[in-house]
Amino acid sequence: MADPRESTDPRSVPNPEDLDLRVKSLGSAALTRLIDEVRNDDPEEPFSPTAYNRMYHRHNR
Amino acid sequence: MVTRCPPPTVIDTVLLKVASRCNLDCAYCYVYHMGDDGWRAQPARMPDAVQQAAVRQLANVYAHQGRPFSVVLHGGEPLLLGARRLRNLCSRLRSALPAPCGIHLQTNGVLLTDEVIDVCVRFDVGVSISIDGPRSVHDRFRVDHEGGGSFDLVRRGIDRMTARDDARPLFAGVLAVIDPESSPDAVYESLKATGAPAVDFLVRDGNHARPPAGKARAESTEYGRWLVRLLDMYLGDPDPPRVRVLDDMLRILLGGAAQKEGVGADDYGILVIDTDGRINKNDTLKAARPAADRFEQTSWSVLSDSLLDVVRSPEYGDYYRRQRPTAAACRACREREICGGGMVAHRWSAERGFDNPSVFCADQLLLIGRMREWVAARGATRTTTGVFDG
Repeated sequence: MADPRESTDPRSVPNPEDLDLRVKSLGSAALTRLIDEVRNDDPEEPFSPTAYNRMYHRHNR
Repeated sequence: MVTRCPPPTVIDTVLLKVASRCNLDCAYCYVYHMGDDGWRAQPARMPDAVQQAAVRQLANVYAHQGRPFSVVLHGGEPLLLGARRLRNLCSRLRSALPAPCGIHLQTNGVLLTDEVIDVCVRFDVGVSISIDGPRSVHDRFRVDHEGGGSFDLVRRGIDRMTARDDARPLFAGVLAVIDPESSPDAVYESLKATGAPAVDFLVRDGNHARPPAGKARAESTEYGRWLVRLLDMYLGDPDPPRVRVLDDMLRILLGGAAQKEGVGADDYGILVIDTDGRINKNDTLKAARPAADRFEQTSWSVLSDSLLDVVRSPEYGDYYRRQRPTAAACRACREREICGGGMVAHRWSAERGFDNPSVFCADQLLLIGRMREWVAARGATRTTTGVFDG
């Protein structure tokens, strides 16, 4: 079944769950923060090991 | 997308195992309870001669590679080193590795006194504290050697960090191991309530030979469902802390880069200096099989060998390249760019070595699928020039 968000049929009715997620995602503070960060990343800059929260390292323990 | 994978001779993170023992006895610990008993042959604390040699080696690495990297004081429990020895070590390290090099402390928080915090403030040492959630979740596994819960002592350490204006900027966050039987809502809320600026989550270690606790089989999604609920909590929170593992995966989905190992397609240069000075691979490999963190052909030590020579060796190159998933299923998977094949240790099986998808593959796919739903609902898409936010 096609994604109702992508439908061009004006008679199509979006799924309420999809609408709910759309509203939540547009208001998501964490997503907004991440999108802003990714937009402002400079891919030419060398990757800094202390850039994220200043203190993070790469080992995940 | 820009590839940020550094050349294989660049070091990102060096763990200093300054203490080989721990004052806690967490049931799931990959150091003590996954079959590797290498810690028994180690000195309890890193001898002064090893500390000095390690600092010299690290200074040499920085001088040659030019690029900053991070050192993590690790264990065991690194604060078993004691405040005086910690001060001496941090003084030497900071002299050799000025900012922007990072010096970090990964602690269980029990011994985090004001005297220790003074050392961290003086030498700009970041602090991350392990806590698994509310008391009922934390004390289930994070116990002392008599089986007593550690929650109150850990919270006291966290409160000391958050109470001091000079220490708060050093508080990197808290690190939690997931109990898939726990409530993600309760864990998220309790960790956020600590006041930590960031929260990170780990799955319980396991692999195809030794399934992770709480996971019935490779195809089941106990951890995935837990993480999906965590994701929904996080993305719906109007005032969220950072959740590192989710941020890393979402950043890749949005066209950015991850920061830590275990997700994404970037490779990281991680080495461990053991308490006796021996140079090892990433210690998390212990979770695959005993001594999997050892270089097989050569035994190197900071007392007698150059870290630069290790990094330039073919054995290091083999270890470095192993971060990339090799299983056919991974190589054909569209989500490989996001999950990166997961942690190497989680791919292990007795029959095929590391040539498997992660034992958490089904969990990862479920989580990534939900992330894609959130990002698509927002209308955010990756473009060649950045991210378009719908």
